[in-house]
Amino acid sequence: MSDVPDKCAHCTKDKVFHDLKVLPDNTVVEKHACEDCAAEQGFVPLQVGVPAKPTSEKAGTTARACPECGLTFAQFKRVGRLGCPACYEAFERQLTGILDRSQEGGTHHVGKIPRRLLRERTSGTGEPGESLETLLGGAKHRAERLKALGEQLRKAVEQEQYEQAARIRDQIRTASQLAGGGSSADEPGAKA
Amino acid sequence: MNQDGQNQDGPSQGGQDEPWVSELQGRCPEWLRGEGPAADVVLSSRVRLARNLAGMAFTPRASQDDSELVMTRVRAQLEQLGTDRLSIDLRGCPKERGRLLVERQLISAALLAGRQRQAKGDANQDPRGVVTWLGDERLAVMINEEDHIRIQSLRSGFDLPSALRSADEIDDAIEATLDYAFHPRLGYLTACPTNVGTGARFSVMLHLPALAITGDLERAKRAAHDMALAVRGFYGEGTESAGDFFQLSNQTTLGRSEGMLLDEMALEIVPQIIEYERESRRKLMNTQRVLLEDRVHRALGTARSARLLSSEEAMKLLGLIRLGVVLRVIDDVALPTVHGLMLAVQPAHLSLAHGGELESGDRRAARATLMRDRMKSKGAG
Ligand SMILES: [Zn+2]
Ligand SMILES: [Zn+2]
Repeated sequence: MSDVPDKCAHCTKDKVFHDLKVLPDNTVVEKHACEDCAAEQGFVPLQVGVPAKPTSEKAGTTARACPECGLTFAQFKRVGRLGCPACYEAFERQLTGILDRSQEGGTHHVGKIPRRLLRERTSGTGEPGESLETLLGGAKHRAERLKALGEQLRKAVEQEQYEQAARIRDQIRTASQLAGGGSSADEPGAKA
Repeated sequence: MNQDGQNQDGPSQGGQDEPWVSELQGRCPEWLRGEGPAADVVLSSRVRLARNLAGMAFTPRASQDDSELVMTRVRAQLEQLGTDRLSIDLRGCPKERGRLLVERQLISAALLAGRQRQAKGDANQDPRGVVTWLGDERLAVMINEEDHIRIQSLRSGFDLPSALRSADEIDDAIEATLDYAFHPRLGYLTACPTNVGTGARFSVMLHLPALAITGDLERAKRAAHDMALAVRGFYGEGTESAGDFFQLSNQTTLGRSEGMLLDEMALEIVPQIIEYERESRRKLMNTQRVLLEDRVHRALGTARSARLLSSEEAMKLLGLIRLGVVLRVIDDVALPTVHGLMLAVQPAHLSLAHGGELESGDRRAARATLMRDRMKSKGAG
């Protein structure tokens, strides 16, 4: 079974996070590192502030109970409330259907990012675009978002809602800056 | 005035002589001010943000100590913000006083009841509370509802953008030192997966009496449902919509940004319903004026003469009177009088105005008396 190491892959600290990084070609790299080492290499903790606990000793049951709070999926179905932030990882597969139904097909967060988290991630050593991309999901979602914003802008202008139109334009500007930063790397020809 | 000092000594909070009870009662909350864009149809706009602290169990699975810690940390952070702050610990708060906060829409009925935690024991001792700002009650932060933090921002009339701005500011202020549970793909993590993502809910409180009279209300409600909006009554989930007041809110929180969700409501859905109601009002004024005048003046007549009123009947009367005032079919009642009564006729407001002593039978008599007094014709005075 996959045993989660309880030491950082880069130093000797034992407070280990389960981290992930999305590369420009949209592949995901996962590794276990401490907060400092992860930040240094542009990795983002999967669970901000929640250290992943070693789960090897109860490998047989981990699929059914959250390793952090012990909630089982059966319990969740009974009460309709998750137990802790880590439940989202523990029940990722089972939650997909529920999210699909209740979120009109939305699968990725688009929107606000905690300000301090964003600052910390963008002022690190990695390229700002890269860290932001990790936080904001793939290029495909940004393209979808841009399309939806464009549609809203058209409607706002049509209805002469100029204050709202200006706001949408600002959003488009932000979104397209991010998309532009990532898209050159996304194009197959760009790297060659 | 900062009342935090009175709220640091545990379960005695909310006791007999809490100054906040009279402090709140004499004031008009933001959502009843009757101002702002499209105030003829839209009573208020509300933005709610659900947030949880990182690395801690959500309220339903939290221990008493966890909840205590959340409460301490969030209140300490809010302590630095603004003056006239009112911080209320709901532990041991007498129900009538708590209900006052529910009626003012500062807290949910669920928060008052406690038992967000799925633990045994006295629900009323669950650490939970609310922080608001006196004067306008535009902002309220509920602590240890189903999520650790629920920020609520209100504006009179149809003004979701500025409600969102204020909610954002307080959100940033809390996050300045506290880590939120945030996931790169799923966004803000919430106890219920239906809130995950932005954790944002945008609502507007609409007054749709003309659609009710013309019989088009069901169609409008169905249209809202089709556009994935939830339709609720005056006091939220499962409550009656006496007076033809309805709350409309978005249900999607994942995959679309706050701005996109807001614009959908602010540019597309709500303007259509506002226009639909206004059109019905015009139709009534132009082609069925006598019918309209009959409904509205019967309501005013009852309000000026009834000796017993239930809160539901009072709200029905006030809804029709409000329509009459807005359309100038009634010219001797002011809108603030109507709005003031919408709150004053609620059970806890009424009881506490009488020293908290009213039985439900006496309450109906007191309600009718209050209504008659405040609705007195200016001409007759
Ligand atoms: Zn390390
Ligand atoms: Zn959990």
